[in-house]
Amino acid sequence: MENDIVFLVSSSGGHWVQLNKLLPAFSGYQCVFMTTQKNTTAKNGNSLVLTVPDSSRWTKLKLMHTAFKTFFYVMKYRPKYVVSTGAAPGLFAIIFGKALGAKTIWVDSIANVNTLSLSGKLAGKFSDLWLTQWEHLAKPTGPFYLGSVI
Amino acid sequence: MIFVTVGNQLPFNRLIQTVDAWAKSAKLDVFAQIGDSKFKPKHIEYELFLDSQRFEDKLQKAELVIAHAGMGTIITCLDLAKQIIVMPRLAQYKEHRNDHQLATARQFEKRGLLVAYDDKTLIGMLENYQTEEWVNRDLLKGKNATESLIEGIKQFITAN
Repeated sequence: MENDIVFLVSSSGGHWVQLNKLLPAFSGYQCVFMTTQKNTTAKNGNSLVLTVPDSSRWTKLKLMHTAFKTFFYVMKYRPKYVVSTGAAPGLFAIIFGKALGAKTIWVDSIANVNTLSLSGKLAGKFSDLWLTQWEHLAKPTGPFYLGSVI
Repeated sequence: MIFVTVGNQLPFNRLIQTVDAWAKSAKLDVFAQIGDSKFKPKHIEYELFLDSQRFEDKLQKAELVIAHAGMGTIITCLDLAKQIIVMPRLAQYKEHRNDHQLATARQFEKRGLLVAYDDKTLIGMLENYQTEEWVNRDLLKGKNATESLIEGIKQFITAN
């Protein structure tokens, strides 16, 4: 249990702030973070924070770079759980994590109030726990609503 | 000190210009993080970007935060119990790719967040901010929602 790694992945900015709000759910586990902005510190102060290039569907070449680096890190750390609040880098971590046997959790950003993000929609296929933070976006087959970060 | 922030991704000239124009006559201590902007304010102190430590410092020192409707800033201000007024970026002015900030702002406005959709409204709020009704922290905070999300994830982890 104590040595099981939880991989927490998100883009910088709002996604990152929300990701850190989920930390209490993983107390007792070793947390490794991955984000897109260098020199970032996690809320618990001492966790490792890895960096991958920021990218989106509008920067296809960079997307490949992000994917490679994410795959490398997932292979290196072999997390038991992969959690993401989005966006594209998180989706890659969920996909690769799932492929390597991790249990995966997607929490769609609270900023997506009218519809799930594109990465959030795609994450459904690869998430063992697929969540939206808005009750009106929840569906019987997922995504599900359990609450929100604020 | 009043702290203005537009986030790290895109400039937000409509917001900065409005605050700059107001600050000319307001004579208050205002500091703005303006992003990669070609417009440089004349009446307020500013920097383009702040690293996370300096950003937190400014937030801590601020008595009022004026920001784009970015969830990161909104959540951080709530956590620090800071009064905040947001102005959503609009796609029609190319302030963002889409109008999701507008949707976010509308949703949280129902829960008590102060939102200024245009410059006139923002100025109106600024003129009154010291007497403006404090954002109802309990309304906005949704404590039960946070607890149930954390608990739900914990249960999933235990079962898996």
